[in-house]
Amino acid sequence: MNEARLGPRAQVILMVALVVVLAVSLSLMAPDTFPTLRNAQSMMGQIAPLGILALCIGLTFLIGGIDLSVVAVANTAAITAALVGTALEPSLGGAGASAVGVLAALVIGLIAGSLNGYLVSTLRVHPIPITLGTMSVYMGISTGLTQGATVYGTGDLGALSVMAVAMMPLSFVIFLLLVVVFAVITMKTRLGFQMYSVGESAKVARFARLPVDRITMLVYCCSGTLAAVAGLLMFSSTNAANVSFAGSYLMQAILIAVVAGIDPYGGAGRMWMIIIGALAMQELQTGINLALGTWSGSSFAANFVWGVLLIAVLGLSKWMSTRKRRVRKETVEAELAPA
Amino acid sequence: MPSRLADLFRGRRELLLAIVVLLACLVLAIANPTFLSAAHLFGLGRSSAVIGIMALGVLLVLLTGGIDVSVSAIAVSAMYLTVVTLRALDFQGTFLVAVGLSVMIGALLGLVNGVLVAWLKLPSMIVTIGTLTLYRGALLAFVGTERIRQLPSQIGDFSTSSVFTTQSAGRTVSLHTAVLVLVALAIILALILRRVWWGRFVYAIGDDEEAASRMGVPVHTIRTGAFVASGALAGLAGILYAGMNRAADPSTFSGVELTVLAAVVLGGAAVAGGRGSVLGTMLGVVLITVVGSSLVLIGIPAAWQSLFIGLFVLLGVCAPAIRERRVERRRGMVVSE
Repeated sequence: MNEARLGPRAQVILMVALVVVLAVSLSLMAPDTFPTLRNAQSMMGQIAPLGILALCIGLTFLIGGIDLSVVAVANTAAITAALVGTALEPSLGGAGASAVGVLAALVIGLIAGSLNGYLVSTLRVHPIPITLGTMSVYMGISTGLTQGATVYGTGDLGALSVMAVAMMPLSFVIFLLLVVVFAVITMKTRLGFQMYSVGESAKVARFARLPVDRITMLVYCCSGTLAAVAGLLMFSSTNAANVSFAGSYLMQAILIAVVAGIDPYGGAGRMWMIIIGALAMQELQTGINLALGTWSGSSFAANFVWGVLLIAVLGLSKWMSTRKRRVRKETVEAELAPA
Repeated sequence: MPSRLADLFRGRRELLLAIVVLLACLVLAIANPTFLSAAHLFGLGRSSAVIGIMALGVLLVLLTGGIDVSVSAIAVSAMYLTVVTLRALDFQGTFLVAVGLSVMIGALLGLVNGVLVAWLKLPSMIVTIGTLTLYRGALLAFVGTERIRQLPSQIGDFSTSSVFTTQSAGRTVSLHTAVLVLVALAIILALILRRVWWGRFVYAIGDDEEAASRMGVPVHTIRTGAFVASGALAGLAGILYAGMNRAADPSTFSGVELTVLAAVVLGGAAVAGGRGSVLGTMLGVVLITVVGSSLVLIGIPAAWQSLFIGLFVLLGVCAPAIRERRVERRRGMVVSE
């Protein structure tokens, strides 16, 4: 596990420290409301869908791509679950209909992801315009189906966000499990190593006879399916789905992936850091809410803060990695220099 | 036969697009004859002017190998800030002052993008997604959320300004000045890109940054300039839009960046940079506007519009890629697995 592959270790220390400092200072700011089980549970419930979307972005970052269609896929999946669930409820009953709805949503996510993967890998087109295009297509389909209206479900999925496992909401447990699974895959398996290689340089990986197209396809399929899971979690907490939901999630998911130290150019980063990044984001959100109180513009101000943070963190990590590279180059040159 | 047909259009994206535009118009005109009325055609010109002006800026950024999705936020910020400032000063002078102010604000916001992308070497997609939310968030949080209907008089007067007036179906219809602005800007930009040395540099950077910089091209300056121009054009589009609609609404233009990008990509600009033309972009804008505003005419609900925009983007990106892959395979350049 070298630093070249995982990125600077300082980032991990910095982020963990940030999470702890934020937790302590928020507890001091609001001793009655912040350090309570209830608040922790509600924060975890909010982290789950956003964190899973960040996992999608992180996985695609790792292979040097990006999936901008995640929020559109999530909303489409949620709408599918709602429509299928409502349509089947009379014949299958609440639980059965919800189960079929969930399955349909996951299939939709897989199809959406495989379309992205197919276009990116087979045509070898840059993922930015491709996923922007498919984002618009998925949004268009679900807007057309719902006419832009909000659709409601049968209510049987609410358990996902209400049910608690070890005092954590089930949705948060799902998020943790998914991150752990992908952290193990990326760190411990041959496939994971190949993913890092593709991200470092697809051309080199191709010449090394790695199945670049298959790996790309697989990652985008995972991203689509995970986005559908995120959509289901969003749907379960409100029992409502709409194309325009979660408008700011794309930016926040990218922010979490960048904050978590996953290199947008590919080939470096630790997947498990997504958890730390998501925690930091949620604490910041709570902090902003505390600081701004009931001001009507607070959600817009939060967007402003996310934008500033995204650029600041991106700049900082760029600076850190260039400095690292320079230091490494200087050490190598010093060692090679004739004594 | 198919290969000969493909040969005919190889490298002639504009010709192919022009034929598609004409075909689309023909189909629409047959489906609904009101399509060819002067009123509808002038309306199309009017609605393509704003998208078109923004598209010129995005084309410039794309040519240098970057991407700019913050144009919609820049347009709305520049427009709303200008109107708020002029109202606070109780300004009653000429429209040109408002235009100048809005263009300047737009250029300034574009400069931020440019510096971040060119000098700090951050990925332009993520930077502009950041500034997109940042500008819009700042505008709505700190400047205001209310729709201003009482524009300074001269800005409002712009909505009725026209270059050409004719009679159609008993009504007087006129071609809006904004269309003339778009055409003039397109011609100027096309001339710059073809004839002026720093216009050629834009293509050079997009094609191969390393080679360009070794040739002595001031890569950072040109790249920053592209973002500044993109911001300035977005500012112009914003204030023209406010003038045309006699209102300044800080929540307009959301999602417009996608339409603009779709038009530019459809017009043949490569997202990797170095390829694209003003003529192609303008044809892309016309096609998107014609299809977008005519869906309702032929009975497709407006809710499906973003599906069509998405399909256009995919078509614009995938069609040349499929051809490229085929050529590479024929030459045995593809590393098989």
